[in-house]
Formats: sequence, structure tokens, C-alpha cells
Amino acid sequence: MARTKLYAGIYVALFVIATMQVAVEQTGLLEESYVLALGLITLLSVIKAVMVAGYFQHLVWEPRSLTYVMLLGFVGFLALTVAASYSIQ
Amino acid sequence: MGAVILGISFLLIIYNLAKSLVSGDDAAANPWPYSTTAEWAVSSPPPMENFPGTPSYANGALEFLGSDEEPAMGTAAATDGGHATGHEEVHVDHASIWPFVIGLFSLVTVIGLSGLQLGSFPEGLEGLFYQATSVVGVVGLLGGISAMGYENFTAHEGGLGEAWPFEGVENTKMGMWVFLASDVVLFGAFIGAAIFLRVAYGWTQWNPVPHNPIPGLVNTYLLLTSSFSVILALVAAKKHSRKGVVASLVVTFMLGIGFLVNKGIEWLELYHEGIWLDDGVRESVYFLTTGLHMGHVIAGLLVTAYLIWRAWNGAYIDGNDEPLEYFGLYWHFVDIVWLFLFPLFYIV
Repeated sequence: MARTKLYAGIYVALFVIATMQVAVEQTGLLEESYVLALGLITLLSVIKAVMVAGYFQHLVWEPRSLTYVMLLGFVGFLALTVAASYSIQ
Repeated sequence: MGAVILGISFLLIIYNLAKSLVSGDDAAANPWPYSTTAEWAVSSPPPMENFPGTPSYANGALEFLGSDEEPAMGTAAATDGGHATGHEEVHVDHASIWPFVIGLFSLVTVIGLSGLQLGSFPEGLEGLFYQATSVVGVVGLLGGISAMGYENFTAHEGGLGEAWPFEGVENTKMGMWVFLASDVVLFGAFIGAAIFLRVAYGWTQWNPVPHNPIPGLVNTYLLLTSSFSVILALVAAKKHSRKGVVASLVVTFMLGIGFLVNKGIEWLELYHEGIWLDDGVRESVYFLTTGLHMGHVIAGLLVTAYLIWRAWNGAYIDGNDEPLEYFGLYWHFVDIVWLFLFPLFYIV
């Protein structure tokens, strides 16, 4: 299985990215420029999630429709959260 | 006054209903001589199978395909959406008492739990009533669900998972993904509520409940590693290595336990500092959302224990490794959820 190496590489990348997220906090970037740090941390989380879903859950090798099923749930979450939060802003 | 008039009008309707019920002729199943739609083709009360075949309007009027005219298979197949082969003696069985029983005991459970206010049941006889009702309800509910599970039934073959647009996705896997999508919505509701409440509270005035992100980071490492070991279990299964499967699953199990222990220590510490679920909206959101996630980890560990037992007895290495893969889908999902919970509740 040639994929074992790929899985291992992704695992290492995930490990590093998780550490980077805390590093963003520990270096004080969160205090200096909150929005930038928040955006960076969120982006890193999304990258990790896409890597896990794409490779560990094999979504890249499945029909794209399965990805859309998952995105449907995610879009529902986004719509509700953004609409609710916006309504009280 | 309006309410009285409305009430009287209802009495009139009830009188009418009762009068029609006890006297007068029985109405025919179809009072409309020129009706052409399918609902009037059903007698009252409806029989087990509503229609003698698949209703179709393809030739301009209602007809039932696949009923008596089996020789006319050529036309039936053409208008039947490609399911012409499914007509042999499939009698879908929907007469079961258990859904009703489950509904009944759900009500009993809810009545019992309604006594649970402010975190405890009331004192004395009243509390005893509510507690007993809760227990009876839950036991009945579990019994009803189990009985339904043991019931034999026939149903149409699904095949939905393997049809467009999910070609090549096996039915069970499709079900797993639909379940995960529903879980996205469940966690989405909790995370969305957390974000909404934080926006309402003032985003930057809201500090994470745990003081230190490092235990959370350790838990992230543990979950990521356990995700990786589930992948390795699947790889080992493809290599027909029983030892590899068992070892990878045991590692997954231990890492999951490690996650729970770490989480437990963190919660205990917060508890000793006097921070708990009911301290405020910030604390509630933290404990409930991470608690829901913890529940998912516990459920995953129960499944892992089962998989270990099966793998020990030699399962999954004979090419039937789907259970491993489908459990992996769930476990990776729990991992993904944590990847968002961790920054949201520990860092930002």
C-alpha cells in the first residue's frame, strides 16, 4: 500500500498545524492583532479538516456527490450561525 | 365572547360528526363518480398494500402496473423507472405495534423527566412518582426499540446508495455519510449557538473557559494520532495482518481513553476552582459542547472495543474490512469536530 506514506505525511502535517495554532496564541499575535490571528487560526482549522476529510475519510477518491452531502450540512450550519449572529449585531 | 362562539361552533361540528357516525347510510369508498386520482382508488379503511400495483398515469388515466397484467411487462418496464425486476412477491410489511409502543413510552419518559427541575427531582412522594415514571419510561423505551430490532420484516431492497449520484458508494457507507451529515448539523447547532452567544456577549470580552490551551493541544495530538491508527488498522486489514489490525485498534482505544482522562482532569480542575456548568452562559456553552463531543468519543470507544474483540477472532482480514472503514469515517469525523472545538474553546 503506497498510501501508507501519504497517510503518514498527512498525519505529520496535521500535528504541525495543530502546534502552529497554539503558537499563534503563545507568540502573542492574538493580543497584537486579534482579527488576523483569529483568521489565521480558523484557516488552519479548515485546512486540517479538509485534509482529514479528503484523505483519512477518502473523500478525494469517492464520488464528489458525497462531499456535497457533507457540505450541505456545513452550509446549513454557516447560514444559521451567520444569520443569527448578524441579526443581533 | 369570541371564544364562546368559537366553542359553540365546535360543539356543532362534534354533534354533526357523532350524528353521522351513529345514524344514516354508510358513505361509499368513492363519492365522486368522475374522480381520476389515486387516493379515491383506495378503499376505507385502507388495506395493507394501498394499491394493487405501482400507480401510473403514463397512458393518461390511472392504472396499476405490475398487478395482474404481468405479461404486459414491456410497457411496465418502460414506464417504471427501471424497477421492473422488483415486482416478485415483495410484500412490504408495515404492520408493527412497536413504533406505537416506542411513542407511548417516549411520552411516559418525558412525563417522568418533566419532574427533573433545577437539576434534581422534587422531595417526597411527588419525586418518587417522577423517578419511577422516568425509569418505567426508559425501560419501556429500550424494550420497545429492542423488540422492533428483533422483529422480522420484509422491505424493498434499497439500492439508493448505489444509484445516481452515488454510484459505487455501498449502501451502508452511504448511510454512514448521511448520519455524519446529520451529526454535522447537530454539532453545527452547538457551535453555532456558541458563536451566536459570544457575539451577543461581545466577542473579545469572552475569554476561553480553560486557562491554558496546552491540555487541549495534547488532546488534539491524541485524537489526531488515534485517527492515524484507525487508518493503519485499515491498511493492516488490507495486508491481511490480524496482529496489525488488533494492535492499531488497541492503540486507538488507549489514545481515546487518554483523551477522556485528560479531559476529565481538566474538568475536575475547573470544578475545584468553582467553575461549573451552571455558572453562566460562557461556562454552559463550553461544558455542553465539549461534553457532547466527549459523548461521541465514548460511543466511538465502545465501538472500538467491539471491533477489537471481532478483530481478535480474526475478522476484517478476509477482505470484509468495511466495518473498519465505516467506523473510521465516524472516528475521523469526531476528530474533525475537535479540530474546530479546540481553537474555539481553548485559544481564541
